[in-house]
Amino acid sequence: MPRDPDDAFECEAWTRGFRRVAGVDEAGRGPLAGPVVAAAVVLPRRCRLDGLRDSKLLSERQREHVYAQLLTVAVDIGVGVVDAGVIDALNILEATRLAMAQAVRHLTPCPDYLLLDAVVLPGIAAEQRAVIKGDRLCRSIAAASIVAKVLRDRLMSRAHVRYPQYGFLAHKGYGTAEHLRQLQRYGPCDLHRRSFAPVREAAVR
Amino acid sequence: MSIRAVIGSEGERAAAEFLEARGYRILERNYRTRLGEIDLVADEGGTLVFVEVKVRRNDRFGGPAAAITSAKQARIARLAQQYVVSRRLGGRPCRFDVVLIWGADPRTRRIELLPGAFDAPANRSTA
Repeated sequence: MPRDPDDAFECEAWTRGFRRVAGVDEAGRGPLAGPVVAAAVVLPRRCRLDGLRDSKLLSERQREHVYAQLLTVAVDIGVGVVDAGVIDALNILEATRLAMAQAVRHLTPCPDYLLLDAVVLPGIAAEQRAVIKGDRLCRSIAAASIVAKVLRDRLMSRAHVRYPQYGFLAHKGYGTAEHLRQLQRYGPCDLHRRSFAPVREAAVR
Repeated sequence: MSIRAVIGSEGERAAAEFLEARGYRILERNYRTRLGEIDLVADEGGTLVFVEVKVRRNDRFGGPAAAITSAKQARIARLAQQYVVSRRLGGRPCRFDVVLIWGADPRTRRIELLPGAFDAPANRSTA
């Protein structure tokens, strides 16, 4: 039975003398369309967060519930958004790092310690710790994963208004059977990641 | 996006929902020009309504009411004028509303609508 994320990693950093500890995570690495969104969240030392868990284990409603609490209790939140065009120009890993670095740079003052889910960010002057399964284990990373996921879903709902034919509202750009069907039918739009194989294949047809 | 921007955009979403429930039709979100941005533009019974949304995370700092300076009012009025001209809506009655939101959590936040919260400065009210 997996345990809920706790603040053991944060406590360790605080004990070592770090003052501003931020959790960083991303949403939208896998989809065929839409941006990759990253969030950085600084939580207070003591706070109650009801239902905080890895964003992938929560329903949309539960995520909204935690997100609303986070907007109230978080010390600081930063968000980075990197669009499909840049994902194609770099690659998804570099684009994800870029979104994360943007998210961290939107924190004021700068954090001195970062907890990340299995990545590190070159070019960010803070002590960094990559935690395997960080979004399940570490409170700040779980919080960041929820903020990133909710905001990405918002952006995909807006994308649906512009491009209603793909069904973005339902699948948020992920490669579901329905999405692949519409991609075959209409070809890619400017939100699609042309460097991803199914999009590339749909584009040559 | 900073935390201010995140909370601001959540506030705009909440305000739009609140106004739609009261019969406003939202025409534009974040109408942006060189001069700046209007949070929401709506139609309410034929009147063109330009809406400024103010959000505070909590009740500290005396709440959001004091936050719209006369300079900001003048800027919103100029933006409104640009909107009216660009959409060829001259002659439509116009109004400036303010939506105040205390709190970021939908279950506990308080929303207040101030219809006609301010007037366009006289020298700018005619397009």
